[in-house]
Amino acid sequence: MTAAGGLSTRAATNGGFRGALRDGLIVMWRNLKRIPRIPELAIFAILQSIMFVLLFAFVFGGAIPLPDGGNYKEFLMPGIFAQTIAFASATTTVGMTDDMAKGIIDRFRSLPMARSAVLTGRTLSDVIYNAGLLIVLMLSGLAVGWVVRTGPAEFLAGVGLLLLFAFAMSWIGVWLGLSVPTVEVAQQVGFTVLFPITFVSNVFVPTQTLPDWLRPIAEWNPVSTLTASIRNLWGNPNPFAAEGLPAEQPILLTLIWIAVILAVFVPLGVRRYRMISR
Amino acid sequence: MSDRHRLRWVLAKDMATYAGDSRDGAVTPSASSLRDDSMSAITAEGLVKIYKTRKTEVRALDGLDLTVQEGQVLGLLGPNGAGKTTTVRILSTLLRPDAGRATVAGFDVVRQAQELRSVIGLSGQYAAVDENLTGRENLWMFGRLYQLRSAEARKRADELLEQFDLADAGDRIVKTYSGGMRRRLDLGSALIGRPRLLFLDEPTTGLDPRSRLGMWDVIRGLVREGVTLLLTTQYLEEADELADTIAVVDQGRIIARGPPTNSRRRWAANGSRSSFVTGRRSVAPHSCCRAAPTGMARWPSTRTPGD
Repeated sequence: MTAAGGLSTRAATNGGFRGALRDGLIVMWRNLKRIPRIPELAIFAILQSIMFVLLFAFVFGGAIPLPDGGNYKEFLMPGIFAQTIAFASATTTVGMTDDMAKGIIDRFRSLPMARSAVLTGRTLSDVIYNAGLLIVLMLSGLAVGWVVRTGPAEFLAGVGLLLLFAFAMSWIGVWLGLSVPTVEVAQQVGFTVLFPITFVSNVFVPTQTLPDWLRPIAEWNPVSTLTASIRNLWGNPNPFAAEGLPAEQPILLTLIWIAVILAVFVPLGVRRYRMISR
Repeated sequence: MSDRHRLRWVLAKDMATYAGDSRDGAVTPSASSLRDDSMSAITAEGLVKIYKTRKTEVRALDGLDLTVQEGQVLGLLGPNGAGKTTTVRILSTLLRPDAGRATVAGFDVVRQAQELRSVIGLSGQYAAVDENLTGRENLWMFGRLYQLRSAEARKRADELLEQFDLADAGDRIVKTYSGGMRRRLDLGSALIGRPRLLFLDEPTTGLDPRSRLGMWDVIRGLVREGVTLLLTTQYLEEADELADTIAVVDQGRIIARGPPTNSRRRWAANGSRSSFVTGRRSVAPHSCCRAAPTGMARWPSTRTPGD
């Protein structure tokens, strides 16, 4: 009808699951491209984790005896991995809020792309980003004396569990990122929520030392079940409570946690995203 | 668009003007049922948008009516907070209206949002590009998300970088761009899929005078290619320069509508009268605009009627 008609060269898959996946991967590509261009983000995320390793391995660690006399640094590292992964949701939150503030979300929303792509692209790229952080942290763990005492299968199972957890936490981050007004608030909320979750756990201390009322909370905490799972999988010291479901089935509980988090926060995030147009 | 169609539209419009009760400027049911929707690129009726915060309620749009014909440039002129951006956001599917309805390129902005997105381009007052990607990467990504094939998206990106004088800066990260360059890239991103309809929300706000003139040239070029354009601006001068019809918006309603006042343009438009067989009135059926000069105020387009 007009001189400037639409382009005829449309990709074959426009819509449906394949279209959504393709659009999600393009958004993921965009998020990954940004990482080396804002190296400070990744560098400080790694430095923060290494600071925790150093603080607890050399400052507090000496004063925290393990009940069965295991090596504290070997006990610590799986906890640090889980903590880093949990904090990853803050990365998602900040990234999401930043995109909202910069108006790029409006550009995405004006394009004939899959509505889910902005969210799946964000969570997928954050899983890859976390995998990168894990590699650097594992290398620094090896430097302070952490080792995997089991085989490659158990090692990979542990890594898989960590990344699944990262994916689930990322969806919490998406929902939070779409719910807060500014990047600063996102950061504040992220850290206010994440510090108690990662500290009221078995990450830095054996839960046996906690008061009776706090102990069940710490033991059922998803960060704890994740930490216990990978300590078990990798043969690292795991002085968890002797009885109760968290002690007996940490892997199963972690998987349930992941499923519950996804079941709650994927719909919440998607709903929030749709609400932008209200 | 054939002459027959255009004539039909003019007749419908005239009937609407004479038959419609236009005391309050609203389009009456009889007028809207007479209008041939296929002829208007944009039709909005009674748009209402209310922004609620905890304590206050702001009526950003309060029954806004709007029509833009295919190939026309409508300048939406008004102060900050008049409802210009809200109008553009509703028509480009970013916001849902609380009441009223709107059709753009024949698609309902709420029910057929996804279909509509593949024929429109949007460029806002804040450059919505990724400042951590290069100009070329931005355009490629938006092209892909516009569902172009990768090779086509790459080709389109090269064309647009050339067209917007960004070819040398194409592989630089956008963070290093000047304000004018960012704005041009943003406009390029809006054009990636060769949209039939373009929304420009304050395209020159915040630009220095030279960049503004450059942007005007770019926009005129697009109009010559036959794009239907809805442009918002705070500057009468800008609306005068670029628009066929100016609609003044205030407190969420169109309060006046008519051709631009610029004499040079009127002269140019009158000079081209003979090329338009059927003519076209740019005065809406609004009582407020009856006093405005009627007749031709169309940009002397290079498009011939019928393409």
